[in-house]
Amino acid sequence: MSRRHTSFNTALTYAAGLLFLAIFVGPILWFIALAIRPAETAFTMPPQLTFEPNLDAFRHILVDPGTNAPQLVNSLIVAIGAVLLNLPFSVPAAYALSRFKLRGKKNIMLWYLGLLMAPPVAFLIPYFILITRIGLQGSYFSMILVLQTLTIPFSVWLMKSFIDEVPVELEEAARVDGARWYTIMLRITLPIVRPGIIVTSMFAFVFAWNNAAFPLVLSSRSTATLPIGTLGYFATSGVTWNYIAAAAVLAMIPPMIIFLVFDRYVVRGLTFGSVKG
Amino acid sequence: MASMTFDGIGKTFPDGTVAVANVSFSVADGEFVVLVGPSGCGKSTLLRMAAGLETLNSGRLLMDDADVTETEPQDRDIAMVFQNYALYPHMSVYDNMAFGLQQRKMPKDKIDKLVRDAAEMLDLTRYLERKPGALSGGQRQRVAMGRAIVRHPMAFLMDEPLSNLDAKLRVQMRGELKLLNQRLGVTTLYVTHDQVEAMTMGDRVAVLKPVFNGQESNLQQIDTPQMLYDKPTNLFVAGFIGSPAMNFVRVELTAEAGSLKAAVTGTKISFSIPAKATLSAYAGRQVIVGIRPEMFQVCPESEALFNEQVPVAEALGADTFVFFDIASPPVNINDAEDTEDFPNKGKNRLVARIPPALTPRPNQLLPLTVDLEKLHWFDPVTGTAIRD
Ligand SMILES: Nc1ncnc2c1ncn2[C@@H]1O[C@H](COP(=O)(O)OP(=O)(O)OP(=O)(O)O)[C@@H](O)[C@H]1O
Ligand SMILES: [Mg+2]
Repeated sequence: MSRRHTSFNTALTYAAGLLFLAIFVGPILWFIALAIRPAETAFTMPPQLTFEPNLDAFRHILVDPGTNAPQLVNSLIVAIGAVLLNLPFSVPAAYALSRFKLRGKKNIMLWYLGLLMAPPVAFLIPYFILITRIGLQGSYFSMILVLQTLTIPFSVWLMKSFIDEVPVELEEAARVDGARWYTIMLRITLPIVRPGIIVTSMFAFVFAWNNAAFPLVLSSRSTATLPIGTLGYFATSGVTWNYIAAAAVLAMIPPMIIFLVFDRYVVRGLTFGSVKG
Repeated sequence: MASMTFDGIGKTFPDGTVAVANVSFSVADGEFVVLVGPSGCGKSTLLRMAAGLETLNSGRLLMDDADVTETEPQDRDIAMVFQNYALYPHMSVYDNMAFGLQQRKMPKDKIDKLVRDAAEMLDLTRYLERKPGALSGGQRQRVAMGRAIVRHPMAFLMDEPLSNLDAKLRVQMRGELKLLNQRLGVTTLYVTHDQVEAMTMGDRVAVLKPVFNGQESNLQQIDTPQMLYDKPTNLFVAGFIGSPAMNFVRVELTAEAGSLKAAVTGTKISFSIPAKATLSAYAGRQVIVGIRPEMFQVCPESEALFNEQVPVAEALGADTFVFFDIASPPVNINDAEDTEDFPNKGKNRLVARIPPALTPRPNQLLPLTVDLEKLHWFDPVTGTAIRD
């Protein structure tokens, strides 16, 4: 009885697992298939299950962008730039919000949250005008700069929660040891929250990488990022589905690599061994 | 090395909690003073004020006669051992100890020598390259000590540094700490809620009590362990110091020719003592008598002051503690009674220490007498000791 019960449970678990796999991995596999099959077979009915795979679409996106800029490289520049500009502001801000007695601390945090909640589309026109006025339109920096309105609030929230986890006694011990606040921040707190900084960078990168709204109005032809390029394939001489699919597959790779490499930091305990165990 | 003076110190937290009020005492150069008291009596707060981690609402803090009330912790040249050790988790044992010296811009080779000397002294040399996470509780405790002693500070502040260790290690570390203090001769302020630790380690012990307003003082008494035991200044100290605790019994005093008769409230038990000046003033009133467990003696029934059934006896090997009840109202030592309307009913459980050979069988009557000369007397309203 219990034995059959168990095997029934196991079967159910596997069925649920397969369903989830189909929902999450299915589209990805379908897109990969789309990218490597001849464009004209994309939507034939009934679906054509056998085809001669080719890498033309990837070659086109990577090697022969034609009139399109090297969008993969552009995306990397913008995303990495956004992370690099983000950290020097969000980490000290998070430190201050976590540790110092500041007036209106709660309001600042809520304001950040508000910025995250608001749809970026609402700000597109103002940002476009602003960036054009200061003559930055079409530059990488314009996108990196405007992305900060999303990445900084998010990073501050995330970083603050990491810094909150560091026992205050560690900093008090350092004060008694004779260290000033900047030494404490640089030599005690930040090294301890290094996993947090890495995780925050990861999220900021993915935020910037996935963002399509800002590059849509701020990039030029030569600085267009991957999402913009993908959109471009809808317009020119019919919809080239294999190019779109190849671009989408390529766009998934960097975030995946990042999560695979830094995975251990996401789960690792922060302050193991600092206080009695 | 330095002396330390607390001069009318007070601390009220922003939420209105009065943690410390009117605390004044001095720690002499090289002295080991223990702060002891129940949870919430302000021990940690007091220590943190000494470190500069907590601001003062009133009073002054002096080190070697210099006012350091407003001095930042960085500039006080004191070392603190935290209750949870607060070791830097990302640094090796070596760097944990070296950090404080590096802040003082000491040359590298000198730092190296000091760290290695301290590690040697604390038997940590083998662990210098390890991170705190890979150490046992006792080793972490020694690293915390090492981080303090390596700096040769003016004073040590220690907040229950042994409370996370198991009983055996605690006893061992207690001895080592005391030795260390004698060897280094550094002024030490040591917090514990364990009165055995306080008695065994302190040159002097300060007994603290929670306060509820700014008029009282946390500090009940500061004295040598022996003096605290022999001459407690009030009910709180008398009840806190000593294990098992002192017994308190309510008695009605009446004056007789040349003597005072004390009748235990609610019972037929009574005894007489020679008249004494201060105590005689309480004739006709209730007072509280304090009896240490070891002041009881097993005696023939005819001489017995107490002769009660013993429902519980705890044999510890060297001693036996016997517990018995008398039909007398109990005494609450934590609050001085602000009423003249004393209770006269209830049950008061007393404990006596007797030689194991005389341990009674369960519920057997045990005749006990008391050395009347040694009794402690307390005012029932204020709780203050009555002495002649
Ligand atoms: N930051 C704070 N804000 C408000 N009240 C506080 C704060 N820190 C401590 N207190 C209060 O001050 C009183 C004294 O606290 P303290 O930590 O000094 O006690 P303690 O004697 O060290 O107790 P324990 O033996 O439990 O460590 C307590 O009533 C406590 O609740
Ligand atoms: Mg405490």
